[in-house]
Amino acid sequence: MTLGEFISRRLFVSIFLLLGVSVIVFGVIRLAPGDPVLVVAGLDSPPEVVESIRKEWGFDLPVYAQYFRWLVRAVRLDFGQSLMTREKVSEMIIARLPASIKLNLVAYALALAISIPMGIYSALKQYSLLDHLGTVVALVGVSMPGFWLGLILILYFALYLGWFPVFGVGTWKHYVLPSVALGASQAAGLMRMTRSSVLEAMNQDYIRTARAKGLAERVVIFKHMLKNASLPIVTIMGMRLAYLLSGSFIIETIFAWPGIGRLAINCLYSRDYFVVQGTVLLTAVMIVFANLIVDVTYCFLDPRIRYQ
Amino acid sequence: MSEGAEKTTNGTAKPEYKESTWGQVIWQRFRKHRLAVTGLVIITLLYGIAMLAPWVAPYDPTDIAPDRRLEKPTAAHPMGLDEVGRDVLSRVIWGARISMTIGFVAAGISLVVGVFLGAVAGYYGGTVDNVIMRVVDVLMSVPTFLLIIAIVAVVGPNITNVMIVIGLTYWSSYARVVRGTVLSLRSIDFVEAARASGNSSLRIILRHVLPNCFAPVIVMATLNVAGSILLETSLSFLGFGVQPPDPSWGNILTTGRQYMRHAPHIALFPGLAISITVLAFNLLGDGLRDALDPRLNA
Amino acid sequence: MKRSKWFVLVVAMVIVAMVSVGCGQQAAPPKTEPKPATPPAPPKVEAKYGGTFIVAQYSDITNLCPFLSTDGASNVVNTIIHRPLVQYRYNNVPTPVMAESWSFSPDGLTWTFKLRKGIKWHDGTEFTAEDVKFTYETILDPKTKSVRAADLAPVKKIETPDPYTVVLTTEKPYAAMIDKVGTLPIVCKHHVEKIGGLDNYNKNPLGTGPFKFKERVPEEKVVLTRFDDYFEGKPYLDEIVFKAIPEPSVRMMALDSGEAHWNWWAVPEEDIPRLKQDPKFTVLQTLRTDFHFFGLNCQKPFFKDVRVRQAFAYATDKVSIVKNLATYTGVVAHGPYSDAYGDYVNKNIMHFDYNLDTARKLLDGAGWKLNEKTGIREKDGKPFKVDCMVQQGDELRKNIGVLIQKSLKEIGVDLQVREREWSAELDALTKTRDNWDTVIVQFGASPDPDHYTIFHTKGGFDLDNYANPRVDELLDKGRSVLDPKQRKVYYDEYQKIAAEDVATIFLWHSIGVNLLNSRFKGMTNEPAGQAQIIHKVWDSQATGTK
Repeated sequence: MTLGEFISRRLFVSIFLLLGVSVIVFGVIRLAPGDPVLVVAGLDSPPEVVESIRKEWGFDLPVYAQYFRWLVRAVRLDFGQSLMTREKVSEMIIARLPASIKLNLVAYALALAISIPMGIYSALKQYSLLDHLGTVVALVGVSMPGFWLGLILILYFALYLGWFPVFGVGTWKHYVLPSVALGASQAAGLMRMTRSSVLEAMNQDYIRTARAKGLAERVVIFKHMLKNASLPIVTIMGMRLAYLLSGSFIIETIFAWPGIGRLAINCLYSRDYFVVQGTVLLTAVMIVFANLIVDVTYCFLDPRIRYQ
Repeated sequence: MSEGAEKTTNGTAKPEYKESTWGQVIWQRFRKHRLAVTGLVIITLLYGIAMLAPWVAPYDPTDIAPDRRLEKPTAAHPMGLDEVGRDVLSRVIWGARISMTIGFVAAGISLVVGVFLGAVAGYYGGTVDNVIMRVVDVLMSVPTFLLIIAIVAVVGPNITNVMIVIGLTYWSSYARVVRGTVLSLRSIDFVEAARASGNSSLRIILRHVLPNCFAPVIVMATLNVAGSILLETSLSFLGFGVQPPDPSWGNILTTGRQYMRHAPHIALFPGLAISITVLAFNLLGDGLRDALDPRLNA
Repeated sequence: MKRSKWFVLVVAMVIVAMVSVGCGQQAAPPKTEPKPATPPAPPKVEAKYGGTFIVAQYSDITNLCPFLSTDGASNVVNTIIHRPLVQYRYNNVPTPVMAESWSFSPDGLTWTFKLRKGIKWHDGTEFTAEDVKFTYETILDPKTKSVRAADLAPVKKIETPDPYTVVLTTEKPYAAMIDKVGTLPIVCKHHVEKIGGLDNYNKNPLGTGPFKFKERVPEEKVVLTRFDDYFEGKPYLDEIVFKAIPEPSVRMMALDSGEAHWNWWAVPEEDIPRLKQDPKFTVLQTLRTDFHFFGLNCQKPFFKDVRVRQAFAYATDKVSIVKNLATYTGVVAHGPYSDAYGDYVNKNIMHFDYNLDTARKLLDGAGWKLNEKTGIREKDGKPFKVDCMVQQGDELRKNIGVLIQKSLKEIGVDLQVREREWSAELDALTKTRDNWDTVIVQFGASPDPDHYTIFHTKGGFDLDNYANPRVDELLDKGRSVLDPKQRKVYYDEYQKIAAEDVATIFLWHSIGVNLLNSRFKGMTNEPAGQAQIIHKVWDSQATGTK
């Protein structure tokens, strides 16, 4: 199978995946009790007004008909309007997406910057004090509830010490606390993974060969081990990033970060159906896409694994 | 001197040589990992406290005293009082019970469902495999958190529903791992032999295949318990977790976060409890992973 | 001789010195000033122009069109950008704003509003009656899907005989005309036509208010700048920035750090005494026109007997609830009208003082016998178990529920508090109506005493499914008569009956607490909201002059 065939086959499968996701989400939120038409029309509205609103949004149609109506438009990238604000869903998403992506990238970069060196160090000096310490610190980061960590960070570093702003966006300083809160949960997994990959690579035959050839320790480590250890790291990176995006809602709420996670959850509360469907579809697309990229990169990095 | 001891030619005793079981080997290696052992100890302690909650908790966790709300920690109430005057320590102890139950049960559900489906998919292959794996793929593409909230919104937020919904979210990772192991073992000789000697498929799966999955699955399960406890906390943040007055660490923390500024004790202690517990499970899982993985010996 | 003269002179000088020093000290302004409840006196210190005012909102705005938005965050912004004909200012007094005056015909069916001349829109053009007509007609148009359409429904004809007069005609006298119609913010006809309709309004709102729209970053902030030609006088502040901070404790921290200057939503109870002492903050407390209540679903068989409802009322310790959970934000309520309604409050209605024995006797009388073993009352084999619906995530209501649960347990009633998501709760209260037993929630009524929507069987809410034909009659009459004295007669009786029927156990009326950074002056207590007088707010650290 060539690369082209592989990608097209995966894309084909992805379409069905996305359909499946959209059906599930569509079904579940329609099942939840609550009528957005009433909220928008106001409770005093004469029934004719309520009915005309219902008709205009297609809520009087049977559920499957509503789904197809949405699907047909979605294919043309028309995701409908928000029931509350009348804005176009696509515009709402585009307005908020960059903020979420920026935050997640910075958080992830921070996590990488700390965990990869620590992971390598831990692998080289296994069971040393620093190894244990590093493990514990990283694991503490992943064990704390995100919003708890976030609030504590704000309380001490923003309010009491005044080093950083309490909330919002604006300067580079605004990135620090939310990135730490968000990245903390990633650091442990990354460190562990780096450590085990390096350990595994360290014991391979080709490393022994390289050592036997007399190459400097440094060269041995950096060139060979990392190249092979990078494989699983890259694998996980893409997937994690996509999941991170959908999970950063809590941090966005605490830090008043104008991202897409907040939009999705708030609209779920207010049964703003179209916004939720659009956001979920978008996130699913990103996850599927990320998986695809990861798989393809995997194949590039390790010639032994070819398009399985 | 026991029976197996031999004497060497010059009269000193040869060191005893006993064959260790696989379990004992694992235990030896686990024991070396001091952090993991600490984790195990903490978990056992917390589990004990949780199960003995009715006897350990100093006060009734639902006893309100609204005129003494938000009292700071004192000797009589080491963790202070909450926003309606209930003793935080008692609530944290009872919360341990509920949160750990959710953790274990949810992880258990994920494990059972995931291992079963993974084994079935791997063993039977073909369409069954295809269907199951497609479902796994879809599940992994959905933003899980959003889906959980939506489902809980439909079925209603109570302890049982929360456990089941969380449980049904994580089974996909188990399925993948088990399926992989099963696939790789399917064609190995002893399975063929077992089949030839007439064992039913189920027996083959249970006796021969599953034990080989044990290592990664048990590690996953440990980390899954930790993840489930944290997930319940996040659900409580949005109001979809365990409903008060039943105390769970998640909902005490959620209520407490409003008072972080001037009555931080309400949020501090359940937060610590969650962090320590989840940390313990993570350490345990880490240690198990190291102990069970033959490749990681430096 | 000379020496005594010197002596007198020195003493006189000392006395003069002391007196002048003493006067000097008195002249220094006190650190905190009491807040007036009447139109504010002109500032003692001269107000300066300039400054940026940062408002902490609890969520992002939803809609910048004033008759399409329903949430508080949007309403605050919209009230500043747009102005209506009338506003309830200075303790709920209908105050002419864009209207100069109004009157109604003797038969009560025709209202005439005379508009002020020389009011400018933010784009410089002049405001006329055409804009008013356009606004009202747009609201009434079903295609607009406006929440306020029902408020305008009684108006059958809108006429503009000249550019500064609007005449509204109704079929029956509409007592709430000023409250429901007069306060509708006006949008600009030619502007809406220019931008192609209301769908684009969110990016481009235009009004006659003291501040005009500058920019909006979704989910983050809305920025308004001063409109120099504002008809009530040039506003002092340069800019107002609204920032969305959803997390309550972070909102308070933002005020502490000075990153926000005004928090008008959910200032935590327990912080209030400390904040009042803190010179950095000004705490404004205003009695509102709403009510918090413990509602009993009259459709449920439990509550069809008035004795049961009265028993619940006697078992609810309002005083203790308010003292402990709404110490600074609540005033005990016995009926639907808070004192902010002025003369309309009927002081002679039935009160239910906390009395468990009376409650028990009433339940006994209604046939609910206490089962000694379970501690719960039973009737015809059914135990008295009810649920109490509260909004998910709402700490306050939950805590009230917990307190009520405790009292009810002592009289043999098992109450379980169940949280429900807001959408589901709204649905249950207004659509499904029979999937709840009791509820603890708040209702925000408007300044006009017309409670048709709230308690009439045909009203949109009909809280607690309350159905009393005499009350229906009274509410119908009350809204179709314009003379306040006549209305009071009807509403007095309505209050009396509602109190005895006690389908709704009124708990308290809110005192809205606003937290303002002391650097900003000029904000007064306004039951209908401070956004109305934002043009009077000024920054004491500013240095600009007119």
